[in-house]
Amino acid sequence: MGEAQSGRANAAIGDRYRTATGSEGNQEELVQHYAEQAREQQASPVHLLSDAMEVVARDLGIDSEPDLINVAWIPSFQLDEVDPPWGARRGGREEGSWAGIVYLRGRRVLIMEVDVSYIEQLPFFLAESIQDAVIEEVREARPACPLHGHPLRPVATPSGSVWECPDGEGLWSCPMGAYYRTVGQTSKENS
Amino acid sequence: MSEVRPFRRLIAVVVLSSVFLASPALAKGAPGGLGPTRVPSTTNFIYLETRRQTPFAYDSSYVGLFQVQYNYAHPSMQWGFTIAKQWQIESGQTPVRFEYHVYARGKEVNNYRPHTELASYLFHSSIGARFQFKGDAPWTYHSLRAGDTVDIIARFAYTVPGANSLHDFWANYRVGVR
Repeated sequence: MGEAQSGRANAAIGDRYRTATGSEGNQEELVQHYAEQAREQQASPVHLLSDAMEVVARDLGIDSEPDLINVAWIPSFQLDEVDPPWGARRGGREEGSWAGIVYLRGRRVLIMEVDVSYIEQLPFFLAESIQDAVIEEVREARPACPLHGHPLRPVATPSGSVWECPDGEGLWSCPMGAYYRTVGQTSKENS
Repeated sequence: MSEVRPFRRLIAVVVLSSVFLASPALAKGAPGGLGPTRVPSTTNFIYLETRRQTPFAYDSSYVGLFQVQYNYAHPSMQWGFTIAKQWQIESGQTPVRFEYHVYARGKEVNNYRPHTELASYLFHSSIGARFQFKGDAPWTYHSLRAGDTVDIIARFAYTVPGANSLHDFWANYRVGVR
């Protein structure tokens, strides 16, 4: 099919048809292949990312549901092959940049990119990317603010990753990975 | 070079303004429903504006419905895009790959996360009370404020069921926080 087949393109909005270059099935196979390759050949960063994912999953209350969210980690420079960008190649990937292809109950839902050189802030990057998808899936605030019930906001600090009440700095916060322990302490103090 | 007299300059401004405002060829905004605070666009984006009294704006076109809201109390911007019905029908049960590219103050905001959902999904995103530009350290934060202008580029594509083709769409919005 030719470009701009619909004939309704202009600079601000538009559409076009173009020939498909590969099937989704092939792309999924490539993702799994590259993820497996990364686990074998670059175990250290993949391990860091998996550990950070565990921390976030625990606070989001999804650690008991191992099939809810799965992430395939591949170096970002391989992303163009498994997720062809619009038009030109993305290029310019920095050293240490990793892409997480996120599957929710087996269905690919989003792609996140993180910089593994920020080790202490890795949970923040992951939480920022997947919290919304988890909330949409479970249909409740995760993790819930013990003061107001709304979802806590992921925040990065120079020393780590924290959850914070979005109503204001200093109202309530806890380090990522310590949500349930801190909430327990808060409720004991209040009772 | 001869000096342009003020009167001639005024005529030139009026004539040029008339050409831009009257010419449909130059008015490149989307056809169809104008948002309540929309300003006619003559450029390669659709301009929307939020104000304290009207913090909500939208644009409806053949591509879809874009809605944006600015929270003046806790400076943040939320927006969403609903794909037009005819494309929801065309894509059927084929997932749509949707991405936003967001720019403010001449830099790209760090919230690029392509999503894959069915076409009926409300593709939403936001700039929170504290945000980062690409390349910032993760603990560096910026806040939006009145006077900011945010460019939101929406792109989506799906494989047309039963055909060996992809259908790509784009929609460029510029939101003025006033």
